[in-house]
Amino acid sequence: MKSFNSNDAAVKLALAGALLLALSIPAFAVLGDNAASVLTDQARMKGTLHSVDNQTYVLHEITAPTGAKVREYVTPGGAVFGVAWEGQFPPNFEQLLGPYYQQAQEAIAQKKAAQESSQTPRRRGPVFIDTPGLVFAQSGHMHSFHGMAYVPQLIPQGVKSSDIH
Amino acid sequence: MRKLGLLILLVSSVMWFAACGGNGGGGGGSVTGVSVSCSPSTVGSGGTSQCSAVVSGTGNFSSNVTWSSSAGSISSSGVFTAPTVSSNTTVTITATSTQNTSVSGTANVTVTPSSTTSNVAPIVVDAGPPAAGGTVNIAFVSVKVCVPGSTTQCQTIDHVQVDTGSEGLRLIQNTNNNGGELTLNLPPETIGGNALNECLVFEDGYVWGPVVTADVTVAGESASSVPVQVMTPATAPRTCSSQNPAGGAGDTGGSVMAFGANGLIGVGLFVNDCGPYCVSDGASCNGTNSAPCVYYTCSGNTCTATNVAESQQVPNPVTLFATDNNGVLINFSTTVGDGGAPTASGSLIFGIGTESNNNLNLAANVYPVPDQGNDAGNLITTYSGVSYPTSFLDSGSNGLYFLDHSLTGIALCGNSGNNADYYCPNNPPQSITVTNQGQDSNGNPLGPSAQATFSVENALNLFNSNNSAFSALAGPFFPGCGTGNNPACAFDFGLPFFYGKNVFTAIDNQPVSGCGSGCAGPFFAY
Repeated sequence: MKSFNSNDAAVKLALAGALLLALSIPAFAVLGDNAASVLTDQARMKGTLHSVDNQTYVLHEITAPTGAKVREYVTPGGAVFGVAWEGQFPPNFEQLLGPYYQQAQEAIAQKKAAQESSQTPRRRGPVFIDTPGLVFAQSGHMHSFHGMAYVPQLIPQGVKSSDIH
Repeated sequence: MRKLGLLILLVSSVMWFAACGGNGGGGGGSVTGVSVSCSPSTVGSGGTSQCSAVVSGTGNFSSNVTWSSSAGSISSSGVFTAPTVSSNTTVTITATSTQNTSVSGTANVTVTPSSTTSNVAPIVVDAGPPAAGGTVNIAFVSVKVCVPGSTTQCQTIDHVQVDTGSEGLRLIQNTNNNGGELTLNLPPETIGGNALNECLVFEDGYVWGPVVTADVTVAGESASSVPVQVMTPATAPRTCSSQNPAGGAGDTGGSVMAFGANGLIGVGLFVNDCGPYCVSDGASCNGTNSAPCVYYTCSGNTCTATNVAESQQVPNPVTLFATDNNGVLINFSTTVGDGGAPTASGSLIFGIGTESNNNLNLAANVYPVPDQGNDAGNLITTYSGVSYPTSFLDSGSNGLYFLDHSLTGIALCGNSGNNADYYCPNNPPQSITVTNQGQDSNGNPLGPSAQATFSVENALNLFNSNNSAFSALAGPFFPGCGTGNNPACAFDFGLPFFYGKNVFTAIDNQPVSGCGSGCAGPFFAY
């Protein structure tokens, strides 16, 4: 296991290179995007970046000045396959889920419609969606939220979904 | 007149005690009877009644008696302190002759729920306000709001949800046939002349609307000019709606149907709903990943994120009461069976260790929780040897949500749709035992650890019963959290956990007596 920080020149260079390649991609995408978005996120969060290479994936953990954390899980090929978060508030999912935000919204609508037609009382507790293309879960209460999301198809071989947390 | 009568009674009682003082020898005589009377004969929860005994006998007998009560407590001088009850309860007071313990007399005192006690608001768990279309496991109280300073421009809102998982009073404005009860025109809070609005994100959705001020009264407790959020169906800024969790309910504050209540009273562990973050960083949020926008000033339809002083944030209203302001006790003295009950009743009791009815010794253990950091307010729950440090108690959750099928072995009600939200064990009721312990802000265990056991019933059977209170309604935390001891998994101990218990929620940094020197919130105790 190799650990490195964002001021590691080589890493910065590599990520910056990826960023250059990614300029045509919307700047606010994360999940499903390439590793360049990690730096975008770090800048946006004014956070410190700590990265760990686990061989099968790289974990980038961004810690904001508030202590809130976002963890981004990146394949050896450079795709962000999972994100996790913890903090006083939930994150902005439009930014964090990137191209999957719309999919999440559709899943919400479907779940709501199913609930209304089933006569089953609404669950008031931790939320989740479990669709073939996107898994999302969040729990918590005012002052402490925890959650994670991943794209099952993007998870590299040898990595468990439970590694994303 | 009434006062005069009471005075005479007390005086005669004192005279009687004084008179019997010199009569205690008892040599040679015998006791033939004891008669007991208590005044008043009906008291509220936590109230007191003076009881007196008349001992009769022959010869030189002793008039001394010992006191006992079938519930509550009674002093050696006959002052009875009523227990906290959720429905009218008859308590038997017994005076037994000390000279001849086989001779005794009794009197009954009726103890009523709350109304005569200022710090007790009755809780009901029922099907909710009609506009909600039927709810389960939501604890409701009534809250009175008035235009600040007015005694006539007031409205009492029923079916306000009691939530230990949040802070602040939020009421649904009546508009567009949304079922909201609040029609009172409460003055808006402003910053720089613009109306203050708030985006408040809950575990499973968000609410949006202006912050106003109101004089708030619950039971006998009042606070003046309290910032209160008015929830409306108005479209929230995108930086607010984008925090809606996937699978959540979206903008739940727009209607009673979506919210399940006429409002919510957050009586949780903290003083304000946001705290220091909104004082210094609220204006620079820009909707970034970790710096969400909470408070906005709005001019017309244009809303801009803003910093807000703690005094203008929406507070846990308990902190502004003149007395009994260091936390709450939620008391459900009667248990709810595994199959549920049509309704359940309990008490929301203000203060901890401040009155005779909220002594911390009603709880077995105190569980301290972090006051800051990403696990603020969370407990460590251990199940089957694995610890889950992001667990929490939350009266605002309507079930016991924990782990998943692969860890618990409890079948889901279905693999998809809403049936996957709940557990349906094959051989209900299934018993689950966990160990709970507090923690410090570094995640180290803190304070006593103790086991807790609850039952899980077949949720679909429960829902078919038309009951509204369920002690054994449960579901998975989220599917798949069971693999690899995923630390994202945890326990959300919702309202079912509160039935049959006394659960204290102590507010951050507020001193509490009864748990050692320097003891203060935040903690849970039950």
